[in-house]
Amino acid sequence: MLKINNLHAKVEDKNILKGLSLEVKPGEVHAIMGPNGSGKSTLGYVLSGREGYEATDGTATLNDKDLFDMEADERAKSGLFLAFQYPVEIPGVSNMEFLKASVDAVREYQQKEPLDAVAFMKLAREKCQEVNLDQAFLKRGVNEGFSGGEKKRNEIMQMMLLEPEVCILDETDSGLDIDALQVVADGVNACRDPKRSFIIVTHYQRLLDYIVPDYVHVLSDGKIVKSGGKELALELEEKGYGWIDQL
Amino acid sequence: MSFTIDFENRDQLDLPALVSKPLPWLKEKQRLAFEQFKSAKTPTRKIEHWKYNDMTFLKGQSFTQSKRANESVLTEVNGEFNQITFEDAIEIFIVDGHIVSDISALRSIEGLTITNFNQTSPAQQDIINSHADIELNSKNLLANLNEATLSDGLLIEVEPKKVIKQPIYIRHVTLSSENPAVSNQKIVVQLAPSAELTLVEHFESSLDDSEQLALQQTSIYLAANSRFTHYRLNLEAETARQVSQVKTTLDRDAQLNSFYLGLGSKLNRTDIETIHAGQNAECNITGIYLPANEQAIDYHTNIEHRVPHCNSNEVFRGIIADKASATFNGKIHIFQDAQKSDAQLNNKNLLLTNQAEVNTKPELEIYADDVSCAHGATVAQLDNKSVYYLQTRGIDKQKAKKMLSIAFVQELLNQIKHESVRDYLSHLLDNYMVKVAN
Ligand SMILES: Nc1ncnc2c1ncn2[C@@H]1O[C@H](COP(=O)(O)OP(=O)(O)OP(=O)(O)O)[C@@H](O)[C@H]1O
Ligand SMILES: [Mg+2]
Repeated sequence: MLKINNLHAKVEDKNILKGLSLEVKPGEVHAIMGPNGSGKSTLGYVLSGREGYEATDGTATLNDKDLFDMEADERAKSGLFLAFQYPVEIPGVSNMEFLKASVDAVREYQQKEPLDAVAFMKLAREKCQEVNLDQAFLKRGVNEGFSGGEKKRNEIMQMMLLEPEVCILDETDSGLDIDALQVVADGVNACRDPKRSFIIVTHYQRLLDYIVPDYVHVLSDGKIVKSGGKELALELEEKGYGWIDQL
Repeated sequence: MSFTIDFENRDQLDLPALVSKPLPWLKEKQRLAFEQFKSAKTPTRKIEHWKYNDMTFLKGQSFTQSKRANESVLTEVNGEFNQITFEDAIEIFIVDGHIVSDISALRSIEGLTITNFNQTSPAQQDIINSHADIELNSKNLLANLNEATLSDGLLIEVEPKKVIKQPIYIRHVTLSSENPAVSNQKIVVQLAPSAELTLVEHFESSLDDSEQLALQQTSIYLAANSRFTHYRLNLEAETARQVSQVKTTLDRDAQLNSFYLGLGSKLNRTDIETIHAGQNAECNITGIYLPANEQAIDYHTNIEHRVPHCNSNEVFRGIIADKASATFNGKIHIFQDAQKSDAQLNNKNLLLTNQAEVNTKPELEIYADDVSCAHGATVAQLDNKSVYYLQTRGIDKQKAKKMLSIAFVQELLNQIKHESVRDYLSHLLDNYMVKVAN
């Protein structure tokens, strides 16, 4: 469903991705690991359509549709979801208003019946509970004053509400204590579906104990330099990224 | 009943000839105001007071005073303009500066008196005279022109301890005219000790290209422990021009809550003068300005703390779209004796385009040493990262920008106590955002 072929991308005239290829099929879980600055977040930004992150060569398609032909919101509506490493705070827009606008937009695009306010409230409350966020969070500004862990759980809640096809989780595990990690992993596992796939960016093998990947890739200097099964994550944690450079 | 003003040759103008139905008891003040009007320099950007206003339209232009419309015009007005739906307001129409509603036929409410200037008793005339502040107007020749040529106005009085539940809803309407026209008008509000009142002033105008200039002043006196809620909603068409002043004097323990909205008008300038004259008085002044296209909206505020222990809290936010401009001039003046004053002022601006312009000018004059005073002004653009974040959740760019802009002013709207006003303005804001986001 997601096909990335020989992707090159630059940010402010700096080449970051240098020929990255990856194919993700329905139901698969891919983990991407790699040193700081290797381009993991950049990949998520380029795919999701962040301004200033420009694909200079190669292709990326979602269900055979060219991602780079679409605005960021169209990509989201077509089923791509990025859980941010650093979710932004938006004071003044309530989480509830935001989630409703988001779900409405996605459902409309997918020609699904709109949810009325009551049904939506009910759904949002349920999802809050699933990621262990108090319902009071729905009334607060988007991520406003949320702790690091609360922001990450809010991201997972959005993923649950939007039911995307391809989910990219960018270091959703960083900064989580063990209980929160469990909540996030449970959330992701609850979303696993033969038609839904995941790209999980992480530095830690720990998360992969909970969400078992089908493939592990190592990203270094803008390219995937090694791919393997879940045991590659263990090996990496043991030997460190330095080991990659010697390959 | 009408007069013509030629700004270029105003030193040759003769007051009695201008005002054919004068108010004899206001004659002396009017004469002084007129003298000042004649001797004042023509507004240009070189004069500090008019630095940010394009007043070139005054040059070489003569304005004739708007004619009085008769009451039948109200049918037309009601059809053309939409109004705030209050359950129980006392509605008064002022069309082109003239009071068109039949004041004597208004519902009578115990403790509340509304009187047309030309129907006033000598005691009421003294009150109106006390509100003719020539000193205050001295920098502003248009304020003086307004005062000098008044032949119509409204005095609103509330008796001691009377709490008036029904808001007074004044609809100031400017209709189109063939010739360049000037309208002028004044409202005087006098609250006795422990009285309470809400006044909603709603300004509207026909959309046309006629050269119009609306002059207006509202002057308020709040006696000890009285409470006054004031809305000034400038919702004129984009072609309108208005220069107005609001002056409020607070005696001890009095409280003022006011809300300003500026939307529309190619020139709209409001000077807001708030004077704490009695201890423990408090004002909360909130405002939103939303100029778009090539509009210019200005608020010049001056808060004076003349005596100790008063609080003032002023918050203005503006969104400036397209090639529009806004000026916010926030002055706080704390007199030497005004110890323990607490004065907070905050102004935030959002520029939606590179051509949008805002001048925000904080001014502090503090002569007392034991005061708490905070003053902040910021200018920002919409945060790209926030727009992108919303987009990654399926919300299109336009809607994302709209949500973020509304959020910027929503906080202030939420504080509006009168639900009918809040609902009306939320709806208006929605329409504004649709227009601006395109
Ligand atoms: N806006 C930008 N301007 C300039 N350089 C940038 C910008 N954004 C990212 N970069 C650079 O691109 C490179 C890749 O950054 P990226 O955030 O994708 O790394 P990462 O693999 O996600 O790292 P981490 O593990 O620390 O999250 C880094 O060298 C970074 O400094
Ligand atoms: Mg990163």
